[in-house]
Amino acid sequence: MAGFHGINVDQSNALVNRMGQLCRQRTTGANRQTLTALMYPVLTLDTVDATGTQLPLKYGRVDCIGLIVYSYAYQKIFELSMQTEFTPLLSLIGGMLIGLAALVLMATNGQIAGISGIVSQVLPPSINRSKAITSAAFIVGLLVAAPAVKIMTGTLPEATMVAHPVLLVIAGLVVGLGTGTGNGCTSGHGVCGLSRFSTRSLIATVTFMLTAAITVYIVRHIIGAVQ
Amino acid sequence: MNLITALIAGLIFGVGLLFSGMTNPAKVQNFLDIFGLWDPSLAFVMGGAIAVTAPGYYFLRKRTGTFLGAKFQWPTRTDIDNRLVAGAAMFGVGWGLGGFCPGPALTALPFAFESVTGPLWFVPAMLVGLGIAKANN
Repeated sequence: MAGFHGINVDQSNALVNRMGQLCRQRTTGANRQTLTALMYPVLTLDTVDATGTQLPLKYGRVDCIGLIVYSYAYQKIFELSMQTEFTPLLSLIGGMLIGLAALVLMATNGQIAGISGIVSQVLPPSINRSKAITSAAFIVGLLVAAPAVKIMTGTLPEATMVAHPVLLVIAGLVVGLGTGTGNGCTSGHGVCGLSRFSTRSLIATVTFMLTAAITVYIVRHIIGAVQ
Repeated sequence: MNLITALIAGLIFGVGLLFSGMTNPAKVQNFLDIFGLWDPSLAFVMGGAIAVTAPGYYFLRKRTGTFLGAKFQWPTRTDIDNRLVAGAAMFGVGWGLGGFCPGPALTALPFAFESVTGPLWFVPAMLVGLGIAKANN
């Protein structure tokens, strides 16, 4: 039987399968139960064929109601898989540790704990040997942090990847160019700069917060690219 | 000695990033998604960090050298130029796109093979970007 509204059986099959796939990939535990409930109407909705016979809406018979439910469920899949818990205390403690690290680095080595700046110091073309060596030690510390936390607590904090690899390469390039040109990132301008009450850093921080929020708004709410 | 303190500082920094949620790109993007799935947690990260660093810096400013006898490298620039604003604007776009800024991307790198693979793509590209910017500085 042909599909409805310009959608053929193959396409509607593909839609339903894709949805099931997303459910499996992007959800866990409680989220999955909510989604199963959401998917239920799509897979069980009854519809009527040309002769007036009731047909159970199974794979390949997604009509327009099914599609509306589908797009609603799709949106829910995205929201449920992307939602993160509000963690004020954990974030505050993490932030204070970051602040402590910035203090330790300044109090002992006299260096600003700006990650983009520190990474820059170990990159060609011009390398200042003594600065590069302490920067490298700091970077090693950063790289050791996750394995250390894993050994101590047995787990790592949850993380959900959103962007496509191609997008990540572009993002990485833009972050590198931007922080290199603007002399700082979230740590150098955002934490250390604001802690020194630097106007330069305040302007940088307001600027990158703004363009970042605008970017997320465009990607999520205008383009709707959530894959 | 200063290598050990730099390493310890990096380690504390990374642990802080992991606890704070900064290494979770979804959380970062939700923080930036004010009109959507807004999760304000990360405001507490910056707040907590500044609450420790600002008073600490205030006292360190009164010293002439570090506890290891090194010179303080306090940034001296105060000018607001196009490079600062354009660079920060670019950084924001990349941060929003990928959900990673430099520190968390490096911190998440060791586990990129088994969980979130993002840093595998992001970090090399970021190093190239930083290298290009440095060469043109």
